[in-house]
Amino acid sequence: MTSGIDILGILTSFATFLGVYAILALSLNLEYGYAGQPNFGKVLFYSVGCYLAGFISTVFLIYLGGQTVPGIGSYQATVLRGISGASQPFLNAAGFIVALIVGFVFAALVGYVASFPALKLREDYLGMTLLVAGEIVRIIVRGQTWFSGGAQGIAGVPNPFIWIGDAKLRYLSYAVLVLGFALLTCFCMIKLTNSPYGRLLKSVRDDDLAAASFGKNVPRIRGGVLAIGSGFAGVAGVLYTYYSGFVQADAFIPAVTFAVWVMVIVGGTANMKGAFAGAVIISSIDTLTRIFGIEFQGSLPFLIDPTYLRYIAYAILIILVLMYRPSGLIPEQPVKTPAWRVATEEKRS
Amino acid sequence: MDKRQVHVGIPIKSLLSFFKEHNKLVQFQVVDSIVRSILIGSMYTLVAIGITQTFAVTRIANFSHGELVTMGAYVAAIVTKLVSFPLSLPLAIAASFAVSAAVITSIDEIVFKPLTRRGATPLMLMVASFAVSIGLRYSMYVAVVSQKILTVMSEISVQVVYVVGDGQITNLFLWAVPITIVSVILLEAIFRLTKVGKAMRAVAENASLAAATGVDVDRIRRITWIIGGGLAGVAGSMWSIYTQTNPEIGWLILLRGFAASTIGGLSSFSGTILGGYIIGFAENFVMDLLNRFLGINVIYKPTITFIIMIVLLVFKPKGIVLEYTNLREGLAKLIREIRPSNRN
Repeated sequence: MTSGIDILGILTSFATFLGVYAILALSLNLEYGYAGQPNFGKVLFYSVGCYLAGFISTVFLIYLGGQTVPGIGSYQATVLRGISGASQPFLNAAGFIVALIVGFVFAALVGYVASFPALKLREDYLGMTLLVAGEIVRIIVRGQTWFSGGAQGIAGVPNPFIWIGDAKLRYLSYAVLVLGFALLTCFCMIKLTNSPYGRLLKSVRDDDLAAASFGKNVPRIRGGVLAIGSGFAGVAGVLYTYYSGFVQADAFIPAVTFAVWVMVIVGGTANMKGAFAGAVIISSIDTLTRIFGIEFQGSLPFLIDPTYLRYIAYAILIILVLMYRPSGLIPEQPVKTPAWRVATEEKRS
Repeated sequence: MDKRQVHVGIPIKSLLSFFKEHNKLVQFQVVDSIVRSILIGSMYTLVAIGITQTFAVTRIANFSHGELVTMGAYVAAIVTKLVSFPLSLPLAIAASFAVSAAVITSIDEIVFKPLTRRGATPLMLMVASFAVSIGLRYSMYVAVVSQKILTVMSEISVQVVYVVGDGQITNLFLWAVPITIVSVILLEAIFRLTKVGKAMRAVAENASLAAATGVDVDRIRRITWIIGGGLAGVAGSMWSIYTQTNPEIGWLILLRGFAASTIGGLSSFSGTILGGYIIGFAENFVMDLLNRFLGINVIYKPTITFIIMIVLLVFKPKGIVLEYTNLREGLAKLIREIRPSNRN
């Protein structure tokens, strides 16, 4: 194609998005695929991570140095974050690590609190409650300025690899880091789901009444799995904000939740490969529409935001999958318990 | 914007002062507030009726219902640009009814009906309706951006007809409220007096039993979508006169419609009508009171509705007037339940 395309740049951004999406898809897969809890408020927990990344970055780079700015979202704060991020790379990296930890813990806490009132209700009511909770938080966060800059948002959150002079190398290292986190998430999920806990989750999904009659505290299990999933979503939010450098409440509309649902349902529920496949498909659609936006926008008589095409593609894709392949591209596989391994080995020999 | 200096040691403010930030106090006018509540409540009711009805008959919590409002609003606004005023109003209403009804009926044929036939769970149907909603919304974005009418307003302007105390009765009020009342009465008449209405109630009660007794379920389904979708379109045509139209309005109105429908337990007709007006009053009258006396910023308005919705989902998921088609009886039951002396 034309010379305007920066292949390496596109691949790096593809890898970064893939990592973030994979974490989100894996966490929803745990909640919905394994435990059957329809989290229609995924964007809430993702946004908690995003806001915290912006806030903690500001705390580390500006307030800890004793400097004052007229508001966290102001232009001066943006400039100051960039300057002190570049001059104190260690402080910035420390802020990043703290943001990851606090993001996980706080998002998990929000996940438990937001789902708490609805834990004893039917699944679809729980889903609606979480969806509405996401909207409430979005409106409230947008309305105040000290925490997330309100309608202005927070810009210029410096990349943790800002000390690498070459921009391409910097983003490449960050993409590798994000993919590493995605693999770590995957590892945690495999460990969680191939354990007694994973089978407990599946028992709640398949028949919560039966699980309760065996003495399992079903509401607590539901709250627990939503907390774990939300924690990982918070980490995804932190990783994304340190990549894009910008966080603003208007971005966290329910359409983001929908994108995560597309990944899980298209890829296939209750298995890690499915979640990864979904994330690959969605980030490919993302990248393709972005290339379209850069390359072909000028030749059209009017401006079409690539986001529009992206969401139309998601909608068509998920409807086709629901109709022709309801279990997703990669269907669910049996749980690999020690007993199952022995049984399959016996069958083979 | 914000002139205050923000430090790391942000003092823990009281909850109230948190909400008071950049507060814009609007003047509180009692009659004006009530008139506005009734107007907005009527529009929400029109939307919520469709949600309740289609849920009762098809068991789909239809998230794409909001896009029908947006579509109706755009169609109505375009019609008023093509035709001059006295004729444009009925034409706009009819056109928005027709377009929204046609769109949702064809979507049912293409998406929802095949999915239901393949045995999709209610949750999957909900996700599918979410997909339809997103697909329609962003297709509308492409359409209106290409026609350069991203934000558009009806050519019919809102004019004050009467002044009552500090409130103003506008021409829009005189159209929207009677349209709602007439639609409600007509629907109630259809439900109670006609054979189609009887069949509709039968399908809502138990679809397979109704089919076994010879009710053409597909036909009832189509009629339900046409009525529900069309009323959403009419609400959209009113909305385009009330304020500017953009592709996002449908989603915001949808959540209010869902809240109203939740008050009726997603199944009670009278509960939904009551719910529409409760939400209308909560967002206007109650919000104005909160703003006037506690200084809470009006931008938090939607949260009142959402909190009502969560509280209802948690404590009264079956709605407050479910078992009673009679509104008076339902209210009496509600009051009996609330009064602590009759608790046991």
